[in-house]
Formats: sequence, structure tokens, C-alpha cells
Amino acid sequence: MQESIPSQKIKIFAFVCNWCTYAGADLAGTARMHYAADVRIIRHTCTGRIDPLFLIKAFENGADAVIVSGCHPNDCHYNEGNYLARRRWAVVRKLFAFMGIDDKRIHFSWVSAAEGAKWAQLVNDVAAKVAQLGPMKYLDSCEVDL
Amino acid sequence: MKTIEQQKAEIVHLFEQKKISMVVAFENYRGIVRPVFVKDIKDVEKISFDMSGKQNLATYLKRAEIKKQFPLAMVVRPTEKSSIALLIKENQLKVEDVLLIESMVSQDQIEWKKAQDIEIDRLWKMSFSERMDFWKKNFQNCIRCYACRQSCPHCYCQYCKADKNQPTWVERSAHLQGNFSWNFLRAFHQAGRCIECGACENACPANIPLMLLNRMQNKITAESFGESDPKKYLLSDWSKDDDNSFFL
Amino acid sequence: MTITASFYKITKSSLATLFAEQKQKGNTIIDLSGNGSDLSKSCKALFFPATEKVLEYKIVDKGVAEVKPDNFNDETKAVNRFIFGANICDAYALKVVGPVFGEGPVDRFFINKREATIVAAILCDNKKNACFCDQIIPRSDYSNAADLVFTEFDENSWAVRSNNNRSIDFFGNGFLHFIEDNTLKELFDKKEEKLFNSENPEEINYFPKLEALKKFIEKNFNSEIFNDASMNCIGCATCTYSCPTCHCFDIVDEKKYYNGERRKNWDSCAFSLFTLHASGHNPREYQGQRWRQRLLHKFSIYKDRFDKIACVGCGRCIRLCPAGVNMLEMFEKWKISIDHM
Repeated sequence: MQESIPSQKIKIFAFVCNWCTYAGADLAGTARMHYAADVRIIRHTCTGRIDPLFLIKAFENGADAVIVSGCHPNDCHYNEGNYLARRRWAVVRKLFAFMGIDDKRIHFSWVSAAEGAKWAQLVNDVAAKVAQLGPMKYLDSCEVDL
Repeated sequence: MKTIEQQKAEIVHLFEQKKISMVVAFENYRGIVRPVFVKDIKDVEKISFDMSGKQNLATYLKRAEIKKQFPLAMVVRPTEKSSIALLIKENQLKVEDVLLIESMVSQDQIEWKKAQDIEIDRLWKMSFSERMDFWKKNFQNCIRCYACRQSCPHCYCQYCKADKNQPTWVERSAHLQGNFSWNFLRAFHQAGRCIECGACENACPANIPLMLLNRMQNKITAESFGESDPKKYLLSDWSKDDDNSFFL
Repeated sequence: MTITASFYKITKSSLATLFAEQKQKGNTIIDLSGNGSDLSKSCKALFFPATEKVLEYKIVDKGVAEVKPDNFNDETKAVNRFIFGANICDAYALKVVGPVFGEGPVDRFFINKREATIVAAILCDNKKNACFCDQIIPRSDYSNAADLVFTEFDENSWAVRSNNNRSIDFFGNGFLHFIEDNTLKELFDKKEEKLFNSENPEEINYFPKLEALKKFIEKNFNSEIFNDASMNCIGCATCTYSCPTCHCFDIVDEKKYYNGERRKNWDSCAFSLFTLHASGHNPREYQGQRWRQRLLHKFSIYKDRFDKIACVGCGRCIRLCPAGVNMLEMFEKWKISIDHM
């Protein structure tokens, strides 16, 4: 029996595609693999659907880190969704960095439906890394207070 | 490149032939160069062909009142030409809707862009939190007037995401978090499309350096995927050889 | 009601000391006299911020929410804020927009702030491009627009006109630094006359009589003139947000799961969605209709309702417009028709 991985007390939002990564995470679960309980998985049909705005909203809602994960190139259920996502993220991750959001808090990966172990490992790695960085002090939504 | 007389003659000819009902151009009103809408031959005199206006005339092509006047003529610089080409590419405009009257370029953007390049490099050299502080200071002053969106020809969505509240994508309130999200959203939607005319930065009453975001993104897009393709929008295309290095 | 003003002199260093004392006591001193942007010098945002929390709520059960604050305090607030360096036009704008917030159901968010603030204006040295305050603000209101009016006496001291007793209570013993000198009335009269009558650098050739303008806009409700005049308008909110008398707002609930805040945000009649009905119909679909509304509201409807013109002639709408829309130019174009009214 694997040791329980303790929660690092951080929030990771994972935006995953239904066909590969979500199934992979499912596999990690059915295979009783333990991984950090810090991740909240949000299922999408395809990584191509993931709007960069979701990541911003994740940070607004208290995320300390974000993972975006989908099918390997050439394996997309909808043929090209992940290719389009790959291009999009190449540009948007720079925008995030330019606006001052630490790039160690945003992770991208390809995890297939058979890679339950990879998923568990990924989450554990990200959780450990981000726990070291500490909680994200994102912008406060505060009124103009005078 | 036509002379001013030739351009004027062309416009008069178009009016006489009843090929157009309106010309969109710049005029000089007491030293201020601003858009003008000429509907009559006698007003052609008003047009100032030095084209030093800071607005992008193509932004008027999204308005319903202007669309009613198609086909119309527009006195264009490379700025407006690029915008119109993009609008045609994105199916917002038909080629026959706008007759282009090419003018001489007098807008000198080189110096201004050099200064921006220096500023972008300076920002990249900073740490993440320093950059965040820079943008915080700027977005603190954003009042969400949406002058940036309205003055941009490429922001043509009838229902902007920022105006939707069921669900709320971007909070409407002018607090720091909402301002950050709004400007991020707009910058991202311009990635690979922005033609760097500077109309947004010129329109902003709070003097936020919006062009830094847009130019930074254009640079990344060009470096990663090549220059803008007249046939396709770079971010709706893909290649097997795209950068995969940042995927775990 | 005649307002008797009193006149004082104070050295700049004494004023700085007084400000420091007040800050120590926990009061707020806001100095607008520096080189801020055109937009930032307006003090509208200090009374009616771009976004303001109205209440917080937390959903605790089906159909039940805890709301905070659930009562709006009616007590008159003690003065705890001093704004130094406002413009006369911006100070007067607070009086113009006061009735909207102060009459009928009282808007405590604005009124509380107004009661808790002393506004000290500094007389402008000269008019800026597009200023036309003298065409709209009555000359008598010019002098008593703000609680205090400052103007430079010499390099080291200010001449001060005090239009009421609020500052005396606020500064307490510190008010002794203000040395009474009623001969300064002449200086103020002279400087105000000079400013009021000074040339606008843009040389405004014509400004209509306000009564005639009102009738003109009303009479031409269905005319094409507003479409033509507002062709340049791109429908951003810059003119309305920078205007010191514009006061339209939107109430939104912004929430995170079960906790949320109700906020009061600036809104603008220039936006195409401003009058969009839930049915999908939009009575002001075109920019010309929205422009007509703006002019009607400022020069006709507000006059009928509150006996004031909802404009102070600060000129920001003209200076900050990104598309070159110019109200003064519009009036000049319509001069013949307006004068016929």
C-alpha cells in the first residue's frame, strides 16, 4: 500500500481534457495511486476549448497553481484541438509572465488515458514545487477606497 | 503613391459617378487631426491628406450607421489597410464594401516603437513581482471606459465578453482584479492580430501603456510562428513542429 | 441667501504644518494640486468612486442570506477629509450633482462623504483648451463653489477665501495660522474676474444662450443633426467618466460561490448596451440617439428637474475624447438655428 501523500495545503486547479488526462486521472484513482489532494480537476471536452481566461479566473478564485493537460500531439479525440491549444499556450504563457504571474505556477502537460502514474507523479511534483513557493498572493478585488 | 491632387480628384470622381455615398478620412480642425465623414462633394475640401491622425479609421467599419453607407471610400494609410485586410480575412467585411484611396504615409512610428522595444526589454529584465507591481500601478488607474476596445477595429464582437454577466467572465467593477482580467483578456484576443497602430493607447484617458502588451505578444507570435499570414490567422493554424518544450 | 465670506492669509509652510497635524490625528489630506493627469484632477471619484461596495452578502441557507451592512447610517459624519487643490469647476460640480444624491431617497454613500469632506479649490491661473466654465457657471456661484478658495498671494503664502465655518471647526486651534485680512477681498474679486473673463486658448467664437439651447435640442428631437454631429463618436465612456457632473451608475452583484458583494459602478449612456431591454429591444440603438440623450439630459432634463445645468464647462469631454467629438463645435454649427429660438 502506498503511503498517503499529505496535502500541501495549496490549491491547484487542473484544466484537463475528458478523453485523455481525465481518463488518466481516473486510472490513477482506480489503481489506488496516491497523490496530493491539493488538485481540483475541471473537465473539458478538449484542451482546445480551454480559454486563457479560465486560468485568470482560477487565480482570482484562490488558485496557487494551475495545470493544463490533454492528449498527446496526434492523439486528440477531435484531431487538432491540442495542436491549436499548444500554439495558444506558447503565446499566452508569455503574456502571463509579462504581466507578472510567476511561470512556476502554470504547468502544461500531455497525459494520456493510460498514464495514470504520470498524472499522479505530475500532481505530486507540482504540489511540492508550489508548496515551496508558498501561497499565491493574487490581486485583491478591492473597491477604490477613499 | 498618388499626389494629394490625384487623391482628391479620385474622391470627387467617385461621388460624381455615384459609386459611393461617403468618404471616411481625416480632417484638421483647429490643429487637431481627427476623423471626418464626408457625404457631399462640396465637403471634400475638408479632408486633410497628411494622415497624421492617431486614430485608426477602420474602427468605424463596425458601426451599424456606417455599414448602412456601404460601399464607401476611405483614405487609408498602411495602418488602415492592414486592419481592413484583417477584417476581410475574418469575414467581417467584403472587399467591395470599402474602396481604398491610398495616401502618403506621414505617421512616423519608428521612434515611438523603438522606445517601446526598450521598455519591453526593461520589463523582461525585472522579476515577476516587479512586473506585477508595474502593471498594478497602471491598472489602478483604469476606469473601464473601454475606449481601448471601441477605438480598435479588431474588437468587433457585438457582445463583448466583458459585458456579459450571466455568467460573469470579467467583473465589471473597476477594481484592480477586474482591470487586470479585462486588459489581459483584450491583450490575449489581440495576439497575432494586432497591427500595432496605437489607437488604443492613444484613446486611453488614464495613459496606460497598452501597446507594450500588444507588441510583446506580436513579437512572441512572430518568433514562434512566423509573420502574419494574409490567408490565415496564426492562432487558428498549427504545425507538427510547434514548440513542445514547455509541456511536461 | 447671501453668503458672507471671510478672507485670510496663510504661509505655505504653515499650511504644510497644519496638514501634517491633521494626518497625525488620523484625518485624510488629499492634495490634487500637483501635476496629475486631466482625469485624475477631477474630484468626482473621491465622492462617487468608479466602483464602490454597497453591501456584502453570504448565502447561508436556501433563500437566506446574511447581509452586511444592513442598515445605512443616517448620522451626520464628522469632517475627516480635506481635499486641497480642486478646480472651481469640479467643486461646483459637487453642488450640481448634489440633488441627485441628496434629494428623494438620500444616497448615503455620496452624502456621507460630502458631509465628511472640506473642499479647498485653487483658482486656476488661466483657462485650459476647451474650458468654458464662464459660459455655464453663474458668476456669483464662482466665488462660493468650494468651502475654501486659495490663490497665490506671493511665493510663500496663500490668500484664502472661506465661504463657511467648516474649516474653523476642522482645524481647531490650527486655524490661528490663518490670519484674517479682509482687504484680500479685492484681490479675489480681481483674480476671479480675470479668470472668468479670460480668453480660452482655443478662442471659442460662440456659445449659445442656455435657454435657447434647451429649446433647440427639445425641438429637434427627431432631427438628423445628432447623427451627423456624433459620427466620430466611437461609443466609449471617456466623456461621461471624466465629466464631473455625470452620475449614472450600475448596481452589480459580484460573487465568489456563496459570498458576494453588491457594488455600485460608473455606467455610461454612451455605451450601446446602456438602454438594452431584457426583451432585446434597444430604444437608443444608434450613437446619434445616445448623443441626443446626453445633450438633452445635461441642458434640458436636468434643468427642468433640479434647476441646474448638468455641466460646469470643464472641457474634459472635449480634451479627452479619442475621436474628436466636440460639443462646442456642434453648438457653433447649429448657431443660426439656436439663435432663432
